Amino acid sequence: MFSYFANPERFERLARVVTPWAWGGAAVLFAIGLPWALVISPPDYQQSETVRIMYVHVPSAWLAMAAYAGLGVSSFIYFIWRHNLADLAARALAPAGAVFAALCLVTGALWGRPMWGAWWVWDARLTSMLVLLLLYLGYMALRAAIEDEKLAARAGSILAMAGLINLPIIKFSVDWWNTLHQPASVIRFDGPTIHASKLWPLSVMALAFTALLTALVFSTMRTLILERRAAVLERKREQRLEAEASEGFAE
Amino acid sequence: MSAALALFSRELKLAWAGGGGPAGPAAFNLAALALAPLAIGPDGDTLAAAGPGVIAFAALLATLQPAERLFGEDAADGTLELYALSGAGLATAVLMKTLAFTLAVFWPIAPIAFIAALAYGLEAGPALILSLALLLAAPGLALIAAFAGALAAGLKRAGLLIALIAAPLQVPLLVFAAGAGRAAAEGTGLEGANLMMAAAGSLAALALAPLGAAAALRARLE
Amino acid sequence: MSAFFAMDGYAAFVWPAYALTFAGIAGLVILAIKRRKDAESRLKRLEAEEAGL
Repeated sequence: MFSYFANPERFERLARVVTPWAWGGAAVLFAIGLPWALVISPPDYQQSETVRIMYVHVPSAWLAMAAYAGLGVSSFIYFIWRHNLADLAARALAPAGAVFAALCLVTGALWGRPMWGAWWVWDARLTSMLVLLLLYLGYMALRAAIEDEKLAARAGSILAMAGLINLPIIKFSVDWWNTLHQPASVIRFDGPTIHASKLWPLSVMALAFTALLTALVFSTMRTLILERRAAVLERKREQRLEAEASEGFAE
Repeated sequence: MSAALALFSRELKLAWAGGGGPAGPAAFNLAALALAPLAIGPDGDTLAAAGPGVIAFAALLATLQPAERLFGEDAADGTLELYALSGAGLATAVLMKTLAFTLAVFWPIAPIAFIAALAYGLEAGPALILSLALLLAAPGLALIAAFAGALAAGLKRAGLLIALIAAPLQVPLLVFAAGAGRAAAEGTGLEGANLMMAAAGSLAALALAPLGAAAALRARLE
Repeated sequence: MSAFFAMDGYAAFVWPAYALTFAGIAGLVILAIKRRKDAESRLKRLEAEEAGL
């Protein structure tokens, strides 16, 4: 399937359709989801109005994890089949995923302070998200440090795959570490017991975040293609200027 | 196999003698352990409680310290090409080199951990468990650091990059190694399980990290 | 209305959470748009130069 979309022109045609729809979808979903989350949905009987933080915190967490899964999978596709578009997808996903991970942590702190009485607790979920943010930062730092674009893509894909393999192990180890000293007063935040009056706005917000990420990724991929085209032209121009300069010397 | 063994013994000699051998990481490890109580405070109970964690963390830092030179020099002087051409294959070469390096350079981690644990106020039994846990975790920690070193070989500020790449991947080993020491000190009876997990983490790194590092180095050769 | 903004005394937590999320998302979107515009204008300039030869 991905070899079908690996064709740049076919991707361009797909992106031309998907991108505006994703932007529009995100705008509409936020227009519905934000009032629902902030006004219409009821306050929690235990957590009062702070439960509204959930509607940005949980989608951020989901998207940070989904983006890393996407990063790992597209890195795998790039590593095995060398499809350039898979690498572009990875490059587009990483900064967005890192921002969502950071947002998850910050909103988690703002939620934790009134509920746990602390800005930060070493809860298994929060700690795993912190490690995920570090994985994102390492990936982006590695790519930024390598000048050669091909090598940066290869090295980045290897690191992203290693991170994806490691992620379940990290999750397991952090859960393991946390259960040794389970703090007693932790309030369960999410889970399957969530009431429908909260599940609906949460779903809408999650969809809004997803549409936004889709739009961002497709848009950034097209930008990267444009940049690559510009770089080719620039290299041509430099060669031309060099040739002209050497002709000038010859005369 | 003989090619791999020859490589192993050559790397063992080189790692033992070259670049100060085990002295650099050991000094780094000791300095971190000497400074931590000055930051934590002299209270005996606090130090004993923090001991396993601080000691395991110092060991992790010690494995990161020499990772830059593990492949950085090979990438610069063309040894990598020789490895790739040698009959053993790049992944085997990476494995042999890293194992030899671990054996020659990181062996002080275990005795340092034992002595430091006593100095932090742990009993001899838990100190021995912690030391054993770090002995089991050290190959895994070193292999992950080597993987990061292969990715960052020859780059500017590679040391910083290696720490950023390797640290999140080393989390499980840190958890299990320190966890074994803590479990032994607190008498929760979970030290055996933690030791097993540390060994399992090292084995997983043994299987996967050389492949990743070899792939990273091969990308550099192309 | 003021009750809405007060968030039952948790305004100092709920509103910063939404503001920071908005800032993060807006930052991503604005950077993406700016980068696109830069790339487009750069490509246009280079293509015009190419065509002018």
